[in-house]
Amino acid sequence: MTTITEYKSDFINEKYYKIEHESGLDIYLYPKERSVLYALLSVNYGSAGSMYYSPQTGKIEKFPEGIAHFLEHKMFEDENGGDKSDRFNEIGAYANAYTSYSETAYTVECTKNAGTAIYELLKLVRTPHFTEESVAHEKYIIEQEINTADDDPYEAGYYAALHAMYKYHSIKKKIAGNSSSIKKITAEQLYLCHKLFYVPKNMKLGICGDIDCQTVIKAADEAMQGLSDSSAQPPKVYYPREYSPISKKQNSIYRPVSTPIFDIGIKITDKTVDKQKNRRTTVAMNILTSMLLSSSEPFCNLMYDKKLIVSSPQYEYVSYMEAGYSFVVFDGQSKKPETFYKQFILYLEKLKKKGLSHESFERTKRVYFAENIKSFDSCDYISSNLAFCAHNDFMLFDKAELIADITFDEVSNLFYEIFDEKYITLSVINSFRKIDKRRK
Amino acid sequence: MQYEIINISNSLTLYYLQTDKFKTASFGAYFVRPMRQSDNPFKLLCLRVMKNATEKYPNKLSLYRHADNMFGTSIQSQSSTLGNNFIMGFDVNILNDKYVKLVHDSGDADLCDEAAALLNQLLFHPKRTSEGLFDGKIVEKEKDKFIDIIKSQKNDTYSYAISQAVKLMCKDEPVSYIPTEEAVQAIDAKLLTEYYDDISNTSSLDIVYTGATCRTAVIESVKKHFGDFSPAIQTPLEYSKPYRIPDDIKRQEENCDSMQSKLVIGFRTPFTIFDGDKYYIAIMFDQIFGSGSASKLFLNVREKLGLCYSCASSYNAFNGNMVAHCAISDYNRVKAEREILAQLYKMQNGEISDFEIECAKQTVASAYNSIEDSPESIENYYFERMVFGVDADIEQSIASAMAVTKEQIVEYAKRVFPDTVYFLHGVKNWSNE
Repeated sequence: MTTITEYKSDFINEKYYKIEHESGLDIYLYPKERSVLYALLSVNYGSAGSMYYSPQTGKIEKFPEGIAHFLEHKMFEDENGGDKSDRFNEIGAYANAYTSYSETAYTVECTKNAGTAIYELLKLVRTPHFTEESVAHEKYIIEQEINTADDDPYEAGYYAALHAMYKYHSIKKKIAGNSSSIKKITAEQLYLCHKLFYVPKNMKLGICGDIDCQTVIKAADEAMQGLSDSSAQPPKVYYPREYSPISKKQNSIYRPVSTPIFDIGIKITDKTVDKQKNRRTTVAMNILTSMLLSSSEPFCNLMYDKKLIVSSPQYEYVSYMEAGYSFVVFDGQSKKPETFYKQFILYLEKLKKKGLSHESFERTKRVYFAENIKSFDSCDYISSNLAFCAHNDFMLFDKAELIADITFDEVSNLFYEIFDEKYITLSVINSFRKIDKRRK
Repeated sequence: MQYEIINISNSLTLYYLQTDKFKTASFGAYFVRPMRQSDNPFKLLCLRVMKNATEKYPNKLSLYRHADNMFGTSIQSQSSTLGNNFIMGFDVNILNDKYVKLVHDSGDADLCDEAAALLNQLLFHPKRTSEGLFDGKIVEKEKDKFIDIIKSQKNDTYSYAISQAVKLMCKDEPVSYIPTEEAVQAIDAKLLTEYYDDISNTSSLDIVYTGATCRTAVIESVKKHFGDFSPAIQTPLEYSKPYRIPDDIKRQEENCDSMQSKLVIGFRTPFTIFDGDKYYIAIMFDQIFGSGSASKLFLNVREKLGLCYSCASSYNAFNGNMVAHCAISDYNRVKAEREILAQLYKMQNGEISDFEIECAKQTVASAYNSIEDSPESIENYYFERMVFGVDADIEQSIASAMAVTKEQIVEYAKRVFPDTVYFLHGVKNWSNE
């Protein structure tokens, strides 16, 4: 039986509903008066999950790298070999998809026919149709996608940082796989991958826009009709545990860049898998990284003035403790990346002696709090965050309270614990080292 | 949804739109003027320097901390080229006052007025030395960064290929004025100050507010912070149209150390945003030809032939130029070029299905409807049109696009001509690590 629960925020006076659909799929609906409705169906299966425990034997089985992304591409093929995108185009909707380390997400945007668009989105993920021929053809397209990504020096820098931090973990593998791994992918494997992981209990649907619960339920009723087992669970994914310090102190990769690109990775080896504790740590880590690296703080300004960086670095905190990875990575351009790195380590050492600034903490918290309120203007952000929170048992609205509740001491303790040189790596993309012989 | 145009003075116009749909408001202040060859390095460098320090906030740290203290206000510089003209200025995104009290106990801040004051500092009070010049150290530092950025353009080989194609195709047109290292190197604090003084003394000023604050309060803040703005002269905008049928296809090739090669084809098209309802024929053509997952380029170059991950076209509404581009294996060059042109010829021969037209109309209508979902997109869309006196009514735009017929698209396609083919040979010099 389908049930509906309401969640309300007194802070911003908005609400959303959790619809526990009888098919086993949880749907989260955030009503909002906007022209465009966004819906995102997230499958809790991404590129880092190519190894899993077989439900039959309990043994670890392995798919070729890049299978989650490959399946994402092929889910758009319809029963006649055509493209399911046409069904969305016909009704003025736009469908797309992406794969990350931890999820495969299918999205739709529309300004009308929202019920039909949601129905089509659910049908898209429920019904795979492909043949060995169409799988073989897709390999050409995906190989071009891999090549496009290989040409991007920033992406090369990011993966170099992952390689430096992790020795075995599947997080360091490229999301789309590589040209040799995708050649091994077969239609049979794709069907099996779909059967195992695309079960309603392993998917969450987030919707934000001008639509009511009844329209959503009707779309889900029709799309999920005839499902044999609404309680089916996906197999457990095997993630290598890697809590040791970094794999490589320094990583250097050649690309023809004018100014070297650096990626500094800080590996976090916390073994906690308590989701609520991780949620709190995530908020505290975001405040901490801003306190260290934002344009309003002295370090990056000083580096900019000393011409050691071209612009303020981009930074992010990535964490999926269940899968055994958690890290901070920040990148930028520098003519002297090694000098910049040394300055960064020196800055951390000085700061450890001096302690973090209370003023900086309060200012950053205020900005972060305001950013959180602003984020509720974006239907796109809300729909994806609904699904993310659902996968992780978080509440969408609890972030405001969490930010308010985070203390200076908490952030300070994280700083002393995490920003230790033995967990910090430097990866550099530069044009000084050529690997291959020049091709004519 | 319609902006009220309020003439505060002969040289100062406020575009005001009240909406309480959003948790933020957008507030921008811009000079809009014709583009000269020399503007590009100067205006970009000028904005970089201005965003460093002002009279009241004499360094970047104090400026950005002030913005942070304004509940995470973000500052963006704007420097887009619109046909033969350009926009130069800043906009800030602020939290609406009613949410301020949620962030901080002393929730009585007037962020709208503070934002106007901040814009005034950025635009009219850049930090100067006692001699009245821009700070030489800041200018030199920003020159250095700017040159790094110019050099880095080749890091993104795809964007580089497109910019080179546009440069080749539109020689002597404003869109091709790409700043060079030498041009930036030649600028000093004196020249940059003179440039800024000239711009601020010969342009009118447009201020755009999109948010919840009431009309009276916004007008009051604008008068308070910009009321004394009075340039010596105002430079009128230019509307000339660059459409011309190319005599021959220009070709250029370059080698690049990359995995893939990039193919860019530039086309001349007959209509721009200044051509009334004809503009919507151009929008429909672009949609069917190369925009999105139902387009001919996507379905044929990518899906059918599997030559690339993405093949798309993009149309410049202000000068009517269009480029089609894809990243491919070097040996597929001829195939890809042939296929892109074949799709144009098909459209010229009337090979456009009702389904393609219907999909394009639905997508165009959705795109117009989505404009009103954020203060920034509302401001960008309306301001770019209002400043040139182009009708910006969204309902009317959708109706005009819906009225476009297949015959009009075919006739339009016949007036689309390939002008330039630029090819960046990928000669890979490294192994995957």
